[in-house]
Amino acid sequence: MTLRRVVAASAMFVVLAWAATALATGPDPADAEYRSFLGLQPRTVVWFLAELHLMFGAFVLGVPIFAVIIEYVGARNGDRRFDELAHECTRLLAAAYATTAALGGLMSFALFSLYPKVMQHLSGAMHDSFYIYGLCFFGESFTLYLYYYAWDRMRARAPARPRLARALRWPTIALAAVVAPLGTYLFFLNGDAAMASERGVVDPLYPVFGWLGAGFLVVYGVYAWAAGRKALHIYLGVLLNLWGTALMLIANSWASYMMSPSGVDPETLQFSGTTWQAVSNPLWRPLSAHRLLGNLSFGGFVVGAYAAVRFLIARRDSERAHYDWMGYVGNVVGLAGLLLLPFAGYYLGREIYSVNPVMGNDMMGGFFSWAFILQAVLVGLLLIGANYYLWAGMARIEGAQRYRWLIKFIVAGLVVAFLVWITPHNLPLAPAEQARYGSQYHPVLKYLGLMPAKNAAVNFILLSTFFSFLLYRRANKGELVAFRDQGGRARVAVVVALAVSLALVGWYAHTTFTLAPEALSLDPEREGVIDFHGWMLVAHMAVQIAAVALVFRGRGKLGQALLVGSTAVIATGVFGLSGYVVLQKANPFLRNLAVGQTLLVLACMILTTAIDLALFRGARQLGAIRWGRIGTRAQYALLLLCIASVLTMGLMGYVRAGLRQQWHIYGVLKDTSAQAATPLMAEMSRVVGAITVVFLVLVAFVFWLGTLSQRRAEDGDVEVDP
Amino acid sequence: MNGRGVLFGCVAVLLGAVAFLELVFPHLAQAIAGAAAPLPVPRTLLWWYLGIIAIGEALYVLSSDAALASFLDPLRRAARGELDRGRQALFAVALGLIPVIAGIGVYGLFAVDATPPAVARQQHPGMSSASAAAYQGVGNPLRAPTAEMLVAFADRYAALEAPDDPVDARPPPRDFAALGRDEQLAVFRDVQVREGRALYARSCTPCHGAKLDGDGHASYAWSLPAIDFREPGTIETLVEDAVLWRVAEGGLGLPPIATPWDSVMPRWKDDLTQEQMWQVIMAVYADSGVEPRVLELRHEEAP
Repeated sequence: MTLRRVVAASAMFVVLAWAATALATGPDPADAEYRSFLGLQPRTVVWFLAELHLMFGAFVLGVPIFAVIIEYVGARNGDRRFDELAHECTRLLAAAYATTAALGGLMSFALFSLYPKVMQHLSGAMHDSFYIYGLCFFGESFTLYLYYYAWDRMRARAPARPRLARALRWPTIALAAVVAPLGTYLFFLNGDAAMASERGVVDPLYPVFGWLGAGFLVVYGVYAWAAGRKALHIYLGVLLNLWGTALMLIANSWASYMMSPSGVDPETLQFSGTTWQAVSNPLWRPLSAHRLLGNLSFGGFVVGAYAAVRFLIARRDSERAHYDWMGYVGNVVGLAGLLLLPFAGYYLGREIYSVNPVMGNDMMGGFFSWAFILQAVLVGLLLIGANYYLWAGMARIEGAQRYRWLIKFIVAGLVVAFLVWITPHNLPLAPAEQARYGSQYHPVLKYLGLMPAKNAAVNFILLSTFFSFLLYRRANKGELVAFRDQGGRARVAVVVALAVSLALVGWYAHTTFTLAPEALSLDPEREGVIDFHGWMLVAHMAVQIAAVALVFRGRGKLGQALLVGSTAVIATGVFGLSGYVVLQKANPFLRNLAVGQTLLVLACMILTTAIDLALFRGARQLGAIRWGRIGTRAQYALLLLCIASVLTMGLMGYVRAGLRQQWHIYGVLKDTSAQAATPLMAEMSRVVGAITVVFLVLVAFVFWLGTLSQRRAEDGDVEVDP
Repeated sequence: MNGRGVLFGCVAVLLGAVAFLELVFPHLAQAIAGAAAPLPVPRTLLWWYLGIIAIGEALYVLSSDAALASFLDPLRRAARGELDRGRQALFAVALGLIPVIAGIGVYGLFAVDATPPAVARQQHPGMSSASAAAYQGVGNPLRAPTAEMLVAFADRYAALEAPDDPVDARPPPRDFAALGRDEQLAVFRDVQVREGRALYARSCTPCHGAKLDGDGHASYAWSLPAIDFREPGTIETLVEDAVLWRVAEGGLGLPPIATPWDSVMPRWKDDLTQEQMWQVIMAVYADSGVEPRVLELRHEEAP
């Protein structure tokens, strides 16, 4: 008792002393460029709040993407479980939403009061976007609460006006088929539009997109109204995602403007452009693509961790079955986002180099290169953890024993690739080692530290993870239905997937062949080095066609093996080795080569998945998937995945913001405060670690709040049907 | 590693990895690099590698109840004394090794170590430090000379005397003004490279070597030898501004984050003009067969 009093009194004393010292410094002048709050470092305050807001925001934007997809699947196949799962994910969303908004508000207050000079510049350049952001926020809030609270009322699937629904079905699909690719192209892929808008010219495709998009929303809305309450509810879910994406795009423009400002007069360093110029800055699109996928993956892993905790504390088998399934879905979603993230990350990194090579060098070769070693460890942890969860999950599938012998080879492949992935180029060497090697590098291992090795290793890890997923999918599938009996849909799906993957690889082969060495400041005689890669891509296109031909001849598994094998050989083996030749003879081409590698892997995943879906449709089941019959170790793996995901997001947030170094707005507005120095790795570890702990505690508390009403229902013994 | 062999398999793989990394790899690396002595794996990396291999094994063992049981079974039976005598003895030896290894570890932690610690340093210190600020965005004017520079060069070109060194002889003088723009540029750059070479031979060869491979006779005097320009991942990953900064400010101008470099690179701005330094840089790139990092075109075109 006495000890407790002493501790309490000491704590009170410390708090009072701190507050007195902080207040004794007096108020900051009204026109101060920087202020502080209770003696805390303003940068750390903003860092903490911004990162927490971003993490909650990622969850709130990521979860609706898959919640609505799960709901749609449930509405299609009539399985109530899917609907319940989507509803449960939305319950978490509703709970986390208010916290996200509160953190956002707190962060804005902190920014405006602690960094008035910065916010003066930002609001001068982009204040128009602030109002649009606020309006979108209303849209998001109303749609979310409608989507969540109207769930039970809008379960009916019977169409209200069947004839109208039938009439509008195809126009809706046709409009979506135009609007979605156009939007993706305009916002994420169109570098020329970025260029044009930097100069203040708006690509005429944007108004076209605006009108088409509005038309789509109207037609789809009427169709959904006619097609029944469930369809209308799904429409609300789609709207929710659109509001969320709009919010994210606007907020991303602020962050990316600070890294790559556009519309600034180079002489006066004053903003002189339009709001659109400021928004459409060079890093806006790549950052948004990266964050969109990051949110999806993050949301998946957080949901997975929630399910794992509920599984571990569940008292009934039915609950365990439900949460096992939920954890599985969370992991698949997290993994799907994660598999695509390196592509978006590479795109972002490459654009950072393009905007400012010095910033690029600081990122990969300089101050932040050790943060990337940490990132390599965390990404490796995520991928290997996700693999482990899939292997452990095979325990619940009858028939999976047939594939267990393969796992040790996947482990071996992953370990070798991970060893290459983690070997740094500039490893700290002991003086004796330096003397022995006669250089700052190990004469042989240094090659593993270079980009060709890294690209090969990460693509191999991605392919291995994809392979694990394929094994999991076919674990309880036995005899196949012959492909010729699979019907027209399967054939069309495979042919469309072939067309998409041929287009991806073919487009890049064409780019490679038409790439003049002079455009990369290279000697014309280096063309042979570049063309070699084009020919390898063409060879792989032949393999793609051969694989599909095999599928049509009833040798689908052989076709898949050929496809995955050829991708592994070309993307990791051949291009891994030829990367060194490129490094030596045509270095600027290396970034193009990396794009070729990632496209090969992406095309392989698309086509192999399509073949897999067509091949195993209606296959004889060797046994059931016994949901809930999984070890607790797998649940801890889900928790680990969530923690690693949160840590990765915190770490890379530090890198993204820190890349500006002593600039608030790169090259335009300098940080002249006492904290202008970039935080060292040790400080980063402390702050990001603290953010991770606070986020996990907050999220656990918010989820607990969200489940209070559900618990009452369960105490009334509502059966959760797995 | 199936059946009862999981434990055995794990131990064998780990020992195999140690044997390969410690006994085979150094000789393999020596053969590949053509070095005079075996090249062992750096200690830090060795521990990373072994740790990751062990984690991989743990993942496999923990991925199914059957694998875990077969991994633990021999240990359980040994602890109960149910194995045959030979294996029981092996188990006792392995058990005895644990405190020995722990003891060696503890000794290593607390014993006074005479070797200086290895420190993480930066291969490319960023250009954000104060000494680099003046060089950011300077751009090599000799790569894309203006019309005025070419006019000024025409006079200088006419006045150039044939150098004594026949190896470095410049091409026969031509009427510069009569040449087309592309030819003018070619002659202009060619002369810059040649003059850069002469400067390099005088100022840089002692350390960086005549072949630009860091094998100059003075290089052996330094604890960090001079950089090999032909090495992938050195000057070819840098924009020319960064190279100019390194040449101009030398080891003295390195920011603290780049320590301990022990770089004895002189501060060349004291001895050379900026134009001369650009000439040397052009010569170094031309002769080492690598290209400087460049902006991608579409952003270069942006205002």
